[in-house]
Amino acid sequence: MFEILNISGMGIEAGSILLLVMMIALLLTGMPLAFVTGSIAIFFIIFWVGPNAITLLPTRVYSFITSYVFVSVPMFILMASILDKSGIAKDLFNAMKIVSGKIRGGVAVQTLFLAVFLAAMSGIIGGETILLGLLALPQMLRLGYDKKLAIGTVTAGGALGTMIPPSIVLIIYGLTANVSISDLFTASFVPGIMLASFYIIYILVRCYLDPSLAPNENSDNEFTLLEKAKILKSVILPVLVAFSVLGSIYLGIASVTEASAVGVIGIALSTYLRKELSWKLLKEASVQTLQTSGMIIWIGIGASVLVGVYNLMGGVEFINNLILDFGGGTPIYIILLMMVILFFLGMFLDWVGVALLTMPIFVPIIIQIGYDPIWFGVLFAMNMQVSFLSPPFGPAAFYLKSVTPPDISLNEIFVAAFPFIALQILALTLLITFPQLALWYQ
Amino acid sequence: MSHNKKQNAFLTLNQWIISIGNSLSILFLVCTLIIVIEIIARYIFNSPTIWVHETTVLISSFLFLYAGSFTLANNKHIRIAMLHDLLSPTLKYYVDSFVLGICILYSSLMVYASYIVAQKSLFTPWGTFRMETSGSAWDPVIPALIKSFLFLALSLMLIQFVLQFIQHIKEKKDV
Repeated sequence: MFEILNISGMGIEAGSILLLVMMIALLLTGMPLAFVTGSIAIFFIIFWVGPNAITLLPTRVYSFITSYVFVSVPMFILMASILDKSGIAKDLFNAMKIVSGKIRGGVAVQTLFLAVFLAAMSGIIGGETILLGLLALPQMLRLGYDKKLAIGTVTAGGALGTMIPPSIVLIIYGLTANVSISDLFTASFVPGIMLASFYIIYILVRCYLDPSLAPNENSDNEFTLLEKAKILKSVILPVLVAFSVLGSIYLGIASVTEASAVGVIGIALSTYLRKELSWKLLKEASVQTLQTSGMIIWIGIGASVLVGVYNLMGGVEFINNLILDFGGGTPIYIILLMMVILFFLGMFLDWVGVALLTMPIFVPIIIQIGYDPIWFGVLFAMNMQVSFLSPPFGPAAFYLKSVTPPDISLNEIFVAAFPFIALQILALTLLITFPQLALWYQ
Repeated sequence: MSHNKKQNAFLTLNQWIISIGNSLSILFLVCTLIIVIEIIARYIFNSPTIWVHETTVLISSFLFLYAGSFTLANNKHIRIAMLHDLLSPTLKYYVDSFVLGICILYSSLMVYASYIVAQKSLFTPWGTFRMETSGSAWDPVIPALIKSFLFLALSLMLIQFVLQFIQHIKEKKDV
């Protein structure tokens, strides 16, 4: 009966447009992304490829979820969740103050230092943005910092979690593109730090040009030497954990999955030594991990079956030729086109969806036109930084909104993020112009 | 009109899924521990294990699959709610019915497809029971287990959608 209803006669051009239209229409109904992509995959397998191929879908789900590297995803989420629930971030925040105490805009700079450290300990975006929103934002607002500057700093800083290794964005990219995740972590380090430095330079320049943006704190809040020692003591272990997790991956001592499990133990041990570890904390962190994994993995499942079906339809080849012909086939135009597509998709889809839908198509092209897929992975992570902050659905803004006082509107958060988006685009441009920023280690 | 809580199968099922999930999530800690055991066995005792890789994959895939239902029960799957929130109550009702209808269709077809896949991993083509193994040195029946989980997880999800749909229609009657 289905043979009569086969629509593959319309051709792949029309089929691709139909797929895109269906996707946008279903997304706008408020249907979860994980089920939108899956439903469309089912539709096309029945009416285009032929219903007998339907067992392809569970088979793809099976191979998607059974990769050993994938185990590191919940491990890094668990590590971040334990970190979020401990007082480590608060002490780190105080510790950063010792570094940035007297400079203009010190609290904003301190916030970004904290963001970088937290990013080096966790690879997800939500928890970090919320932490910064709870810790740093109230303090900046209380001190009379410019509202936009303060909000922008927190939103942009929170998003750094997925740029500075270990990052779940890079793990998913590595899995999809079939490249080494530890190479990706190595390559993204300098660009990640570069982006954070841009933020810091921007804050310093603005605050020195217009000191009213960041009033200085009263000096009676200075720490004594003893207090300084106490604060440093309380954060030294978690910082060491972060270094050893990354270090063991970089040095090739441990696989990404092993390093992630060691990281969980390390952070748990740190909270134990801080006398914060409890069964309740571990349980809450595990539940949080299940929840976040559910969101990420089911979007991945949906996107991975859709790509599988689209490939069977001949769509991947079609897009491949379309992209390769773009701009007369000049590599740099192709890269720019890909960036535009990623920006566009990033506006509507979650980054997991974007990665799994586009990378099976983009990465072979990248290799074919002579670029390094590791470099492209870093480019992708940088691009997704923009999508986290940009309207209408930038997740960093939504996470922050969930913990800010009601007088700060979503709109205000998006406006505050604009200068930081500009800095991200600057970093992206530099990374395209100078691939050595990522590939210096080769 | 208020519902008798006992009759609301949708909420009851969700509460069950959430409370079981709360307990199951501890398995992530178990997973962490066995990976660390492997590292200790390899670097300190110089005797790598043969079971850790596949066991962690088994536990984590099981959790990943369950997490779909768990996240659904908590209504935390990522979606774009902005436009949906602007709809009038009547229109919202029809849009939601449509979305749930699609979800039911999707999950029932996935249940069907995963049934075939699970069956192939549990039975030979001539019908004898034998579980598909991974073919590694340890050679556990893990592929058969995960494929069966997949079928069960998708079936659970289908039940969730169906109950939610029934609940959705009941609520309309009460308005």
